[in-house]
Amino acid sequence: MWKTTLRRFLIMIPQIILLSILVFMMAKALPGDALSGLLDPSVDPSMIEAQREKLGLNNPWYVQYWDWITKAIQGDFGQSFRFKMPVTDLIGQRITNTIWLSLVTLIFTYLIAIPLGIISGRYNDTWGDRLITGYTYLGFAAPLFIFSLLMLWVFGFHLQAFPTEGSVTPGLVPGTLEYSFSKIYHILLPALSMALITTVSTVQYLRSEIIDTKQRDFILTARAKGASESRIYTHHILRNSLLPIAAFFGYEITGLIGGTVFVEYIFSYPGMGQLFLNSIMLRDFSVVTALVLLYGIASILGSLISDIILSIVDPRIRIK
Amino acid sequence: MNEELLTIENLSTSFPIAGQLYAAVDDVNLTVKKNEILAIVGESGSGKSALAFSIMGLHTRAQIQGHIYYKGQNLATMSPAELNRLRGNEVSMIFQDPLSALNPLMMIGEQIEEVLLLHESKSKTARSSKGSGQTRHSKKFRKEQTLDLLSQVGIPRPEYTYGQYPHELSGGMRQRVVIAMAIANQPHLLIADEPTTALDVTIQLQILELIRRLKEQMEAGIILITHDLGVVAEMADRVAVMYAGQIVEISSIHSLMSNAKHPYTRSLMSSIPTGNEKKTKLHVIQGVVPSLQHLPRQGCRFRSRIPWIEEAAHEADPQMHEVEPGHYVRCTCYKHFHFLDE
Amino acid sequence: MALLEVRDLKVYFPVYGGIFRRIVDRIKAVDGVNLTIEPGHTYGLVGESGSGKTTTGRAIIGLNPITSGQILFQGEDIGWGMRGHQSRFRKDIQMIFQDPYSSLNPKKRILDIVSEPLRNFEKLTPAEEKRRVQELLAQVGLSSETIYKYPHEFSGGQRQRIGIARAIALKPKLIIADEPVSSLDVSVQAQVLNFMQDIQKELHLTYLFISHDLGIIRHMCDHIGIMYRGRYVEQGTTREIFENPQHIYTKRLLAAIPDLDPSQRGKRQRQRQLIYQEYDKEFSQYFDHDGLAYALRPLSDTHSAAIPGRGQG
Repeated sequence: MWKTTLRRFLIMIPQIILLSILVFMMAKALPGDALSGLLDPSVDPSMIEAQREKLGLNNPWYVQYWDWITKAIQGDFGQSFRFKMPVTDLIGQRITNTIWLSLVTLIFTYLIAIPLGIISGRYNDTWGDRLITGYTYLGFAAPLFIFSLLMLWVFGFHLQAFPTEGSVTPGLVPGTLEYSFSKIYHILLPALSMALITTVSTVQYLRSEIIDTKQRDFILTARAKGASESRIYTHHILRNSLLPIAAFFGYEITGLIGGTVFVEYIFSYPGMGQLFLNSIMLRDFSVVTALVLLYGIASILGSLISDIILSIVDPRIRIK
Repeated sequence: MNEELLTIENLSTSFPIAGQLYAAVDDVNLTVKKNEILAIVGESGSGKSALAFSIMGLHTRAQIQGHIYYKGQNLATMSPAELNRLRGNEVSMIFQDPLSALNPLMMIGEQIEEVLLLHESKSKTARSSKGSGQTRHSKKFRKEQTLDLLSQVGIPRPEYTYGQYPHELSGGMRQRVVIAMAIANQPHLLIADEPTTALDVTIQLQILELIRRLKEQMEAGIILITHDLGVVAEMADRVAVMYAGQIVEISSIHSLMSNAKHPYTRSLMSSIPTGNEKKTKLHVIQGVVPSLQHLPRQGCRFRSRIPWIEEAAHEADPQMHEVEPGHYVRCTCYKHFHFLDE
Repeated sequence: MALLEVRDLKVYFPVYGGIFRRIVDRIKAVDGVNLTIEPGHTYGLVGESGSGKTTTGRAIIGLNPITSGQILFQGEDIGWGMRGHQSRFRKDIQMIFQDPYSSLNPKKRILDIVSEPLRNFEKLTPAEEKRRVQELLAQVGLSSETIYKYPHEFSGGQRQRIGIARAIALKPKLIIADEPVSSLDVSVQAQVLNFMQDIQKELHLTYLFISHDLGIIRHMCDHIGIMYRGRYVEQGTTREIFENPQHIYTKRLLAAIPDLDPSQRGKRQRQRQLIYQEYDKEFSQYFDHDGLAYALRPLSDTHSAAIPGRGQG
């Protein structure tokens, strides 16, 4: 098992290197550079040129890349010209918020998907199944940002049941119980909005897995053994149908990245997604580059997690 | 005592297709005795597997009419809970494809233990009669039993195989596991649905010998479903030949192999390549097996495949006729049947 | 001259392992096979699963890369291995597959399935193509209206005949039939086997017939080769193999064939018991320390078996 994991881990390294080169190239291709925002346009062009030389901006791309990547590994992504602070510090404040939001969303996603998928798959073609399938179609059709706006308007502004912005009520002291509760309270609505939409693919996936597994021959064997219907579900069908769902877990992370970008923005939740959109609009490229790199790494890690989970739960993939 | 273990009376199993019911098993009558192998022979579409599934109560969508008496209790009208007390316990089944019949995510040991666990109370009484002091629900005891079963079916390293998964075993080994599961609770009636179709000849022979040995040990009644007349000749005490949902001929193996009567049985026998090395033509049955929706429901069902036999030879409503003691043939056409080139 | 000659054919498959997926071992699927097929004959290749019989067939038609050895077709090297070069024998060798359900593309019409090899090798107008396909279908006993149907509309036996129509479209000389009837019912099996014999005479075809069913092999073949774990254990004419088997493995294989006479059951069982005992007792004499067969030794002009010679021990 550890061999597979290790090999899979080693494959990840070139993936990340390739990703970082792509991100670096993208940043280079964008108009302007680190100096454009810092310097007064009226400064003498020769001074700018000298400054560029000093900063290494005239070096060949691979030298620049090497400088950038060695610093990035040490956690230095440069300065945000907008916030006038190191990008690392800027992201550091927000990354925990995003991680919490993602975690709660994931929990909601599975809390919704597993019971609905099981009901829908077990009692397929009943009215209950049709209702659930109807919901999944709605979920596929509704864009996340419109649904989030609707949720924000209904529960945030109209019913005023949830806060409409921020990640914590201002003035609370970190570390207190009140502070933690406030954090959770702020996460609930965005997380639920996102989960209700992103869960539908998992519901559908689980439903079709269960319907498939129901018709497999080993289910007949279980019946012929004298296993009751409920035991057939708990011991045979679910075990086999949840396996691909578990394997899908890593890819859910990739999906969450896209989701948090919109949801954080709509709920004014200070996370990486909100920072990302703001930085794009403000052309704060050092921040954007760092975030794209982080998101990319998160996706790669997601698929790594998927593969590892699969190799743990599926004996057919395990390598002795 | 010649105990009748299973008596099937007027069994029909019908499936709904586009809102209409079609009988895949049509008015079948048969009995299975203790310590007897009854072979059911037929080609795909003959209804032989549908018959086995009906006995086991494995159909989910079918409508079952008639009676299936197992030791006097009618399986056809039992509740699922009552049926589950018998299935895997007194009545069990071996499936055709041993790979798909095993749960890919469960260890071999777990899968065999499950059938022991499900019928724990029975093994408890069996144990107390032996005077063993082992406690009930003992995991350790179940494991011992499982290892014992694995070695009974000829698995060389039971301890090792116990922890293996189905995909790690060869076809023959998997079929042994499926058999171990089926005999775990010493069934009185065992249904084997094409148990060797997926296997090589030498493995087939080993599996058949295993089934025969188990029959002798357990004195069980066995229904052996197969399309292979060679397997029938090696194994069966009695044979029922099925065509298009009906039994067309039923008899002792010796009477059938030496004196087959029904045109279908005779055609089937002459279509097998036998020892002759002169490249003589094999017999071909004209036409194709009709699909479930297109089965002829009146008159002799084999009629359309022997068009050279005159209509008058067939019965309007074909019945079983006793041609020798214990040897029955459906329809009167057998009296007038000849091969086309005869 | 022999139509096909295979000389010391070896097909090894690499086994990958370790963290970097390097080749750690090789599976010797086919390990030194020699065979010769005369034109118009049927050569049977028999063995249990894993014996290498299918790999041998696939290597001959170029579907599996050859590790070493030579395949001569009409005395010339067949040349599958050469890059960027299409063997000129490509047309002359065709294959019939085991499963008529999965070997026909379900989304294509019969016309397209059967004409596919024609399109690859011959430039025909659509009208000519259609006529050829209809002729071919008539040859395999299917009516000409069937060309616009899809595979699922046919029974197993009919599908296998469509597969045969596709195989004979280019007028091949050699057909490799890999378990062509093992997924069919007995009566349909008979139909396909008869038909294969008919077209063999009509088109003067040569067959390499791969099967695990000894009854069918005996019925169809002139010569038989018996494989075990990638090597030949015995080869000879059908009569020599069935009436005078020399290798203990062949004997055991033949003993396992179900007998159609139920009155002989007890006798057969005793015979089998004896052969099994002999097999267990003499295994080490007939196989080397890896459990593989020795090289073949000729017993007559046509018959040879992997029996260790006295000198070789």
